[in-house]
Amino acid sequence: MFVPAEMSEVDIFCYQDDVEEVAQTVASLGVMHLMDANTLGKWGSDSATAWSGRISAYTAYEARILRLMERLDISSEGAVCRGRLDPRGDVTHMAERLDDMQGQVNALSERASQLRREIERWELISRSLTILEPLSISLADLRTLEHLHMVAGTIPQENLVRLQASLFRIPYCIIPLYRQESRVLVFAFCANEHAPILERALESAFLDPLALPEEYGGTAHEVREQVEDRIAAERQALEETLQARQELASELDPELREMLARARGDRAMAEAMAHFGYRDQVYLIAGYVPTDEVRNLREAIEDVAGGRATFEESSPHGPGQRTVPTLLRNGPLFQPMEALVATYGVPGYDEIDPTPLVAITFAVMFGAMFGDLGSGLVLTLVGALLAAHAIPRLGRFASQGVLLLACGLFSSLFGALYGSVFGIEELIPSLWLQPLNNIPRLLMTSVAFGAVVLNIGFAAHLATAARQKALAQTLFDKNGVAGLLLYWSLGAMVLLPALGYATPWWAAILAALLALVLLAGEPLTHWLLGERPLIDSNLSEYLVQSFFEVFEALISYVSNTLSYVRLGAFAVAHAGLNMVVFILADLLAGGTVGAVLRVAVIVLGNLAIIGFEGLIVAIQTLRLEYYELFGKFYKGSGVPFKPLTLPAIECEAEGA
Amino acid sequence: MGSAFAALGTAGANARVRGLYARRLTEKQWDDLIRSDDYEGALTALAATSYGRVLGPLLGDSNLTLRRVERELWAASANNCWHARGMLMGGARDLFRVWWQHWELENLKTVFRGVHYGLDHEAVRDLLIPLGRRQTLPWDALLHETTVSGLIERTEGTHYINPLRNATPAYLRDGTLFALEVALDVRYYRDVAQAIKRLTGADRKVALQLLGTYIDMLNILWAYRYRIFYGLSPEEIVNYTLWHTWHTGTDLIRDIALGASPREVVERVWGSWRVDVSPLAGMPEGQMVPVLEMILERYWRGLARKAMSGYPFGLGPLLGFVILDELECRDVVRALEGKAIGWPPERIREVLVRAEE
Repeated sequence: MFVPAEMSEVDIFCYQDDVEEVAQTVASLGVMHLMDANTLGKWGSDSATAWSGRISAYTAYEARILRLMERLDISSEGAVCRGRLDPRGDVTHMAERLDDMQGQVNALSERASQLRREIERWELISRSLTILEPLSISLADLRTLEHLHMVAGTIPQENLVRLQASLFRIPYCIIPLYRQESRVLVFAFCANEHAPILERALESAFLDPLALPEEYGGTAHEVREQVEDRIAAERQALEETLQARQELASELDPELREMLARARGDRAMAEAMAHFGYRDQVYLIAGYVPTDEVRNLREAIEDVAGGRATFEESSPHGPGQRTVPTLLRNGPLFQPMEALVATYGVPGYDEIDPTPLVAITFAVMFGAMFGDLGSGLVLTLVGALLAAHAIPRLGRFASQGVLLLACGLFSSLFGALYGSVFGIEELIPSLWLQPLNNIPRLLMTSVAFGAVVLNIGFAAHLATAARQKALAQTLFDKNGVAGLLLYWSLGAMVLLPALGYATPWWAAILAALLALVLLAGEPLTHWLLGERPLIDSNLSEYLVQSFFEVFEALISYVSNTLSYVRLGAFAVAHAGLNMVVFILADLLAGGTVGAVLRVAVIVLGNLAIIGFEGLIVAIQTLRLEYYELFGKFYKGSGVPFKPLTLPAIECEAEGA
Repeated sequence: MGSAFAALGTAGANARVRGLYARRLTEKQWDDLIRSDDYEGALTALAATSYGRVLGPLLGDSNLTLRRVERELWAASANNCWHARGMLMGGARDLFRVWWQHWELENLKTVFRGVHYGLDHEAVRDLLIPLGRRQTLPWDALLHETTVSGLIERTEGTHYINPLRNATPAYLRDGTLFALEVALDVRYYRDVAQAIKRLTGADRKVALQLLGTYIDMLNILWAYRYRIFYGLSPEEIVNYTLWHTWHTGTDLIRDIALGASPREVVERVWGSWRVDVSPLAGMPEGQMVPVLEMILERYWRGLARKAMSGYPFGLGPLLGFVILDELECRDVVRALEGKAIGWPPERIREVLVRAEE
């Protein structure tokens, strides 16, 4: 707590034959944040290119497998891979097997599509024969008309008008008979001598000809019966094909799931390998490991490599000064608050972690501004439901639930102190004060609280400097020792007369001296550290710049402190809003309906207050944290610790 | 109020595309490119321009081919179109999405050609314009198909499946991709026309002026090609051209199919005072189409330039930018190809759409 977990820089050297085993072991422990191969100097290698190619290949395989599973109605849930991953060799096996499986699936799918089309086609023929049935003439006679050319077939519906527009050179007749999905069944006629023109026009309108079946003889009625038999046969064949596809799906189901898990695992491994250094058949796996996990990792590597791997541990601040990742360990109580800090920026490895401080001050400040026992308990209840995953659809808001729970508790606590329940101030006695009746006292207390928080900010700045071994640099800083003393001097100048003491001239003199020290901060620091020149720029430029910096510092001390007055102001506003709700409710009171309306207004008003005012107060609290407090000591320039892990897939040992 | 906000949003987008527009090649840069000693010199000259962002990562590759350079240049232009899309909202954003899809259509046709001619899937992949993750078609599945029928089935679930299925009998009958490609083009430009139709007011007007003109140009050029190079009948020409157009209705296409001259057609569509077709005078029909294409492309470029410098609170400057960017990319590709086959600068200038500014 307050500081990120201590890290060690770890270098693991292993032969290329062992690298996959070693990498899988590292990944399975999930404790190593890898350095990129580009930062490994002469160890940065061309091998990354080969691995990048494999990453692309596995990504493409995963997409192909998922598509194949989708086509076969196989669920991708619960994929398990068997045996160890082989990111180098699996590429080839997987490609061959995927091509094979895709070939089988495609053959059956195409057969099914072909049969469906055939069925549709024969159904259209049957339908066109229905039109011809009343003629009671042989189809052979229809095919050999002496003066008339007849074509039957389907064309896309949208092409029909265009087709008619295109036939401007010949007399013709087109009869649309039946619409099937986006196509329309047509009979087209023209004189025999114009047949080539009509045929070319129909073809260019994408006519799918529907030749009257030559294989069947007799009248239209007789042929239609034979066609119906054929449709039944084709339906049977389609059913058998679909059945065969279903059987293939059952047969391929376990293999495809295994392959999916393997492709995902291999891709994760390949992504890791692309980060490894490589030279002369030796791989370098370099990264950061929490110091208390190094021993476990070392033992696991020695186990798996059988003494063929070299394990080196060193301090994280070696040559090159790479950015050390930050791992925060705040325990279950404060962990949900890490998101609030991370939104501003992840703490640097050598910074202090402000999460516990934020967790406490955020909840306290929210409670002070939104003090109401009833509303607070509502927030507590909602927060508890979210945190306990009681509403499955809102499960992803569990960590926000903890924050809401804490805010709700402090809101209830302050509600008890203010004696307010859903804005009713007569229900319980106030344990401290009622905001609307004690405004000056409340505002003064808020500012005093702000002064305490800012002092914590100064202290945190000094603690960060100590952690970065840069205390000397903070002696003459506006947020360092000189700044803190100046803040206290100014505080004494305001506070002592307000409490009835004489004006403290000593504090005024001290403040003036400290302002001068801040003005000369840069040369004094250089002098202390033995650095030359004492001033980096020319003197006049330095003086102007320093003057404005000191001026800005003085203003910020005052404005930052007064900024906390909003704690009390919002508490007053909250009580005022509640009063408005009750005035509105009372305006509607009178009779049974009025009583109901009154209750409705109070309920809706409180809901609106909880929703809108709660949101505004949360934003104000966040502002106080980020701007007033973090501005004193926090940069948030770190990178989060992201260990190498395998994706959430299960890998069983062979034969398990 | 809503339209005021929309105008403000478009104004912001216009300001940004004007920034992008400023990256176009200057006269001097064009001169350096065209007058460079050879193809390598042209690449070096191009790398010193804003295209350096595209060429920079490629130049170190000893196996760099002209084909790859071209693909990357097209990809950069497609990317600019996509960025412009991202700056817009509503119907205008949809229009840009549809317009961007012509890059995807090019890739789809490439895959069909590759499979039809029996190319290996890796070889086909090398021919595709790299459009990144924005694509909407299942490229991996498409690339692993070995038959055209299989490819058609793999487009199931996309809006290309119906036109492709409609054209399948023609493909099977003729054994060429002609009908499939026509079906794809007709479908695509119908989508563009629909997207324009969904716009309103000044935006619709400018979209018709720019993209509507382009569709008209295509329709006229297709009709001439079908008549002159493919020897199609008038009925086929009418059926294989677009009918959701601005100025090129069935009557015009019929007249082209029956032998109308380009001068007559251009005069009817745009007026001879707008498009100068005098270079076509006395030219044999066989040589006429590429020259007419160049004349129309230059006219289109002029419209885009006008739109680019026009009313800043509408769609015009954005569409103008996208068209000018693509035309410049086309010119750069032509210049590089000219350099690669050793054409002199004067010959290269003849095939560029751009004129000196």
